[in-house]
Amino acid sequence: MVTDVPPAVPEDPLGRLRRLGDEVREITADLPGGSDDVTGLLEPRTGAAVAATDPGADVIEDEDDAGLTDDLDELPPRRHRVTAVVVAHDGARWLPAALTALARSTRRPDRVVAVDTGSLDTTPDLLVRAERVGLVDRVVTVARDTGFGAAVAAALATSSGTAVDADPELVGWAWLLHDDSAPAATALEALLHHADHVRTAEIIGAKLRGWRNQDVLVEIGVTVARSGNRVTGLERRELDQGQHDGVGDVLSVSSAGMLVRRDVWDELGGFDPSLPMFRDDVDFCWRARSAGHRVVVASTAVVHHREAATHGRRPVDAGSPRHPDRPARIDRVSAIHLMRSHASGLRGPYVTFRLLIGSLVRAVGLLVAKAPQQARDEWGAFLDSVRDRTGLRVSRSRVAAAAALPEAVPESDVRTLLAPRGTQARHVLETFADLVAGRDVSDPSRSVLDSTSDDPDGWYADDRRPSRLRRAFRRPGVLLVLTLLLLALVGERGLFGDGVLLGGALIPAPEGASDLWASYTTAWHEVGPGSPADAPAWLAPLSGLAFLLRGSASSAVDLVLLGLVPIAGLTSYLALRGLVSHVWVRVWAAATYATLPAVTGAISGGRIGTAVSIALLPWLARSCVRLVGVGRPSSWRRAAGTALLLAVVASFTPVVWLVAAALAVVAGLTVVRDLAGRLRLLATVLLPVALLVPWSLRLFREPALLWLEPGLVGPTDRHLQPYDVLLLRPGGVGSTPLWLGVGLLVAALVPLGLRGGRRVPVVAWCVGLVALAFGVVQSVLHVQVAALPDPVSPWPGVATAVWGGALIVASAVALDGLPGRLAGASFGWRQPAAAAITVLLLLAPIGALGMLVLGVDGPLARGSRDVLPAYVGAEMRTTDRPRSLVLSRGADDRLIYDLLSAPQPQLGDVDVAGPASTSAVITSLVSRLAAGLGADEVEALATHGIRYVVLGDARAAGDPLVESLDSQPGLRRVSARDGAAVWQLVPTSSRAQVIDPPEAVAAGTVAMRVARAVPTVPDDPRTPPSVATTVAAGVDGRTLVLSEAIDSRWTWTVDGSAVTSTSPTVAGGDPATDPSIQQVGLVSSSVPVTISFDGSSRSTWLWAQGAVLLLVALLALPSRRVEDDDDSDAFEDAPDAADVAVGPDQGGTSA
Amino acid sequence: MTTPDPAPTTVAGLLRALRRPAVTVAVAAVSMLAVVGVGQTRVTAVPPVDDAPRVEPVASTTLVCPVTTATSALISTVIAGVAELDGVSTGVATLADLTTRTAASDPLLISKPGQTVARVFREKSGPAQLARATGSFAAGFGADQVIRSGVGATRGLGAAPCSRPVTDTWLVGGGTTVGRLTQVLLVNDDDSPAQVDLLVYGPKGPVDAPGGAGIVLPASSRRQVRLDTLAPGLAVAAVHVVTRNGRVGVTGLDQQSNGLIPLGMSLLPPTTPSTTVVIPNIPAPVRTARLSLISPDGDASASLTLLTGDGPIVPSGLAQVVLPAGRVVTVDLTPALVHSASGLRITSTAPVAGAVEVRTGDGTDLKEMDSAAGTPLLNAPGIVAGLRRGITHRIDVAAPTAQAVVRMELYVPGTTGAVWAQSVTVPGGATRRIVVPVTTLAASSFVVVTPVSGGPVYAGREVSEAGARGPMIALAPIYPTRATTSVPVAVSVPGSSVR
Repeated sequence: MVTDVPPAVPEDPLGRLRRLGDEVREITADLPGGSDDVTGLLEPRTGAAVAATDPGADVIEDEDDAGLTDDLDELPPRRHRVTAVVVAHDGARWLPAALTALARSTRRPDRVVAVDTGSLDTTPDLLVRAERVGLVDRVVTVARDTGFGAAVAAALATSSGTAVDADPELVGWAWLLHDDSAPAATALEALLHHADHVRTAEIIGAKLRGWRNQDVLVEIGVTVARSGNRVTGLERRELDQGQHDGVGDVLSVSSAGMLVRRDVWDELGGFDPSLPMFRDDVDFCWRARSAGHRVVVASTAVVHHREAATHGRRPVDAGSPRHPDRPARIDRVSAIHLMRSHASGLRGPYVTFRLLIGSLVRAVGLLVAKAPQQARDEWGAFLDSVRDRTGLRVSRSRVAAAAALPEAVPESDVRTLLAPRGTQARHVLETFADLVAGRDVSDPSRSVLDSTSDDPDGWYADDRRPSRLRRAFRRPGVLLVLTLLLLALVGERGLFGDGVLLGGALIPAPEGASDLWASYTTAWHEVGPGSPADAPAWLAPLSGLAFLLRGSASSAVDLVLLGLVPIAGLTSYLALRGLVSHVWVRVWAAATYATLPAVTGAISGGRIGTAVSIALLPWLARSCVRLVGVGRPSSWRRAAGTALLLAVVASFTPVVWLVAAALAVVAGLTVVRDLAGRLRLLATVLLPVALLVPWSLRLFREPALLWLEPGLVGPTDRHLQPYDVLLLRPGGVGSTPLWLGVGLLVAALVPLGLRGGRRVPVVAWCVGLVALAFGVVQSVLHVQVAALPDPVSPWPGVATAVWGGALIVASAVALDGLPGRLAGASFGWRQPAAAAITVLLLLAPIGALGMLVLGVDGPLARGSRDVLPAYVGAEMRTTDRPRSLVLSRGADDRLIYDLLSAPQPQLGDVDVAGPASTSAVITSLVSRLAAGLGADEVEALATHGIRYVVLGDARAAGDPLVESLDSQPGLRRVSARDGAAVWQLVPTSSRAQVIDPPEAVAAGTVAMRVARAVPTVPDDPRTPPSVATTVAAGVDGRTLVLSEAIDSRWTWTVDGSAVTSTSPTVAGGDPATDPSIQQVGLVSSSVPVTISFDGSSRSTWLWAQGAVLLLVALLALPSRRVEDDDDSDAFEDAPDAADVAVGPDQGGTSA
Repeated sequence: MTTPDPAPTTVAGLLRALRRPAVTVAVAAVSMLAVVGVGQTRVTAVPPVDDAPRVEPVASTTLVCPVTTATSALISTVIAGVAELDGVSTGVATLADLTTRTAASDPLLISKPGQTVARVFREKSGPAQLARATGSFAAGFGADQVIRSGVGATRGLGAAPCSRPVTDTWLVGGGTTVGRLTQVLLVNDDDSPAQVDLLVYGPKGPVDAPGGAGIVLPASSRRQVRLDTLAPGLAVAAVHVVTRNGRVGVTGLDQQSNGLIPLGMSLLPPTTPSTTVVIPNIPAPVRTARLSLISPDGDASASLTLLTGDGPIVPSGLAQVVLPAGRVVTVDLTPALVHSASGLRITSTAPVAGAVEVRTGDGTDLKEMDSAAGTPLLNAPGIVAGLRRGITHRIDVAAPTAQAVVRMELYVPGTTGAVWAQSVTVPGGATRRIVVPVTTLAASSFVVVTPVSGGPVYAGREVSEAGARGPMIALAPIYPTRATTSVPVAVSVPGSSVR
């Protein structure tokens, strides 16, 4: 078979090919697993396909890449002697194609040696037959655990020492091939052309493309990251359009198709036996680079590579690894070995440490991604690698030997070819972004198979499509959201500007997310006289959102309220995916949902609870539908995810949990019949209770809160009726007219009356009726909340949103099927009825949007957080920590007051306020103060730590309340802004104070209150005050008073010993004691005292909550994608190989 | 969502029936309507809350009396008393020097109802007096201040009730021309300093008076500010007293002389701008009567009605008075006044403050003057203390809109019950003047004016002394006592400070 001059073109190419094809078909006819479609490799290509896929033959002459050529164009071609080595290992499925392709070569190798590494399948037989028909010149059999390098060495040994080898005119080459790599016909010719063209190149690699999907680029040169992972620099499933052609110098080329000069091979001692399977090529090329040799890629040479071992399509036996069935682990061992062996001296321990950290991080990440086996592999690979000290020593000596060769270059020069730092992180981020954006990178529907090789348009289809941006703007969903956004911006034009959103149910958000978070975590709230109430759970997700928005709590509120319309439109549009087929029906449904009266009412009323719930409800509904097994089988992961979502929504509007629980019962009795499914339903309903601990326990104690939402404010419409709820109107400002809901109600009934396809409408009606029932209950209910003096009527906003959403789904299904149903029917009553209903349905969103554009009116406004003059706020931050009393006039001559312990009221204050009964004494004092009775109210209020009284809406002249307060002894008017009046209490007022016993009242003299302020430890005004000081000597019978509501978690020590504080008794008062303050008696001598609050019990609860959250979140996390074989297809039958995970960061490993 | 079929044979049959489209629609519609219908029957109003204000007796009353000026010719007297009204039983009332509350004071004590106490300042001015009552005494407590000079350039008589400290009030009248001394007497009865701005207005509008800005009154102090040092040359003035910090008791003292010839003395009571101002006590006969009006906030148009004994009279040519914002406008009422005492009602399109300055003395009589300002509505008993024989005490009661009945009672210490009582019916739009038959010599009797029924009434009084060289008069409003107050229902609403 050895020929002196290889023929450039076969004499009778077609005839020869036909003959070869027949032979191969004969060989493969009796193969068991011969399902690999090799015809693509065997049959001659025609027309453009040939030009595009095998450009070598035509393009070789045009090759003029300045980076590649040595500017030696005039040099005559040299004479080459190429020994092709095909290493086979259980490769009967691919070997016939590989051999056939090899035989098709326009420049046949001078000698083809096949090495069988103890294959157990029909490979030996195949090889024998191939040798017989002349496809192979020699077959060498070696042991099964022989590595790739050793196998090549064994093959090359058979041809060394021949007379031809000694010919100095001949350049000897070894061409390494795998049993699953099929070179294109012109591959070798192109490689040798490069060898002549680029005379300094001693190692030349081919462009590797896919086996099944032949246009997919697999590799065009390769390098490694600092973690040892292979980096190809290619996108996943990147199509070869010549975009990477011309890449010249690389760190390494794959061993599949590697053409290496024999002398270089011998000089470097071939592949490292310590790397029997993976990274051997990288190590070899790295050493060659160190020794001063050049490694290039000839992009005109194409080799199709299956990467069978990498994708687990055959076990790895080379080097007798511990886990032959886990190529990922072997790959990782090799990677670590490679990096360590190329790190000498002090660099060694450093690299090892870095790899240790990297392995740990990846193992943890894999654990979180619920891939424990892979996490174990990751960690085990590191241990395996570290244990192999002998191998490392040998490898390092090889590296050192290469670096010691005369032409050697500095190591730093070679390292410039390593992948840039951050490549991997970027890759991971991009992959994550793809996942988040919903671009399914492995979407089988968009396989490269779709663009067939015979259809040139297919390859360039992407180029001809409009830009991504333009495409995005043409999508109805994007258009919908943008339109809603624009209209919302117009409608909310009065709500932008300086300041923060406030009004209605909304108390302004604090400055930062951390303030919000702190109010969630703290056990004692500086609201009113102090409150031990459990903070509502919604503070946690809202703080999370605020943290995402660069830590701005007010931005989170702005987003939730002002962005509600487009967000609700977006979520409902996405959630209807798959349910409604007509995209414009989906658009209608989303627009209608996003403009429900509950939406506009929530914005106008500043109800963030309803707003968040409305935004999340579509996803929650979709998740619930999946949970009961519609569409795809239910799973525990789904249950955990639904529970998480339900917990978030229920934290804002607990009534949703009630609706969900009721629906779970209905589902458990009807749709879900199996035990596991019912258990999942139970878990979904109960997990939120655990997730929202300890707040959920408060709901058990105070069930009234189940009906309310953040802000605890009832409807602004006092005359709300159940039929309002039926017509989707929750009441209050911002609600649309009732008649807009009528069309929806009628249309939603239609699909129930049609034959077929009634499942979705029936489910929607079930959900809707349950929500309607709860909404009606809310509309007729008056609940008593401990923190507020009067009963509150709940606002049925969320209930109407669920009810409206259900009607929308039912109507959308009706609309969706309308064209189909009318298509075949003759004209009758149906068509006009359908038209009427369509018009009615269109009216709802159009009317609502029209009203939205006119402007959102309501209590929601933009204003300042400051309700007190600056000097009052500053004084409240001093160590005295005095309080302020803010008065306002309510309806019916009532006086409303807000006792401020911190200068600025903030979101959640009303939800954490203590029971109104605690401040009964203060309430009585305030009314007496306002009446101007002139008794001891001022002094009593001073004892409660109140120093300022503020009336926000003081009238200019003749205000009886102002006159009353002006005339009150002990109240001193101080300056204030326009429209407000501020009084200072003259008696000593401080959060902690020592009060002497009242003096004996002499006839005609005024009893004097003598008090002295005790400084608190300076701290944030929202943290519970603490005292650590020494009280100076005074009179007998004095008391130390702390104006904080009494609670067992306050710890007092006097003179080093713990004492229990008591509430003072109220003389003749209705409550016998005043629980809003606490006191202990003091002796007359100087005495050290400490007061502090122990909030550790809440911390314990929060840790427990965190643990439950972590557990549920882990359960709910999507599993790691297991299939990552770019070159697979649906038809390939691979029963012997469990699919293995190879993350995108690991690249495709050549094997 | 299932509704029970009236006669289901089997569950399967029921389910089969449910699958029929018409039945499904019916079931859905019926369920929907049933839910709403049941809800509709359960609609209840929000439970009513008891939020009617309670009426409670006040626990204490504090009145400040700044008029303690005295010279060799000038005598000031402060009188306080507790009337023996229903419900006034226990408590303590004092009249004490204004000193810091911690310092010792020498209070005059009233320990039982019906008593009066008085402090007289001769030769030398004294500290301001603080009249205070606690317990049920607060309901029957009144205090008055009288200043009198029988001879010399200061000859004249002035009277004013002690008043509650305020943060914002007006003095209308007085002037700063040569020979005229108008002073603003300020008292801070608090334990901390007060800061007061005196904003002066004249016939041409606000007067730049920097000396009146930021006047500091230390704790428990009295201060006398001469108006001519702030804004000289004003024929007629109005002063807006407004505090920046604290509150003050305010009275004006107006004296006029021509060289050594006295022209009279008066005390200016504080008044508050309103769209309806009633001055019930314009005496008759008088030599001149001049009304001063100011509309502080904006241009106003005021209409005047004289409330005479015979009914309302609109003075010719004075039906409409145009009041440019911030200008003191004077109206000569002399031609309109008849020979009986009358009241004056001013209704305006914007709040106005007003006072009438009357002058007496013709021929050989020495001249005398006094001022009557807008009076608060008498909606509770008004108490005047310190009546004595030798001085004529007249009570003027005006009912500007509708007929009203008031009861007048005279109490003399040492006797039980009222020694004189009279019910007076005042026709709508009229004023009634009653002379109180005082018989006691000491300044210790007091009269109580109680509105009994009918429309709103306003009360004032006139004190006149027949001097050797002509009568001396003093005009004063009668303030209602604050016996009770309405205690509003207070509710704690966390976060309400935001709205």
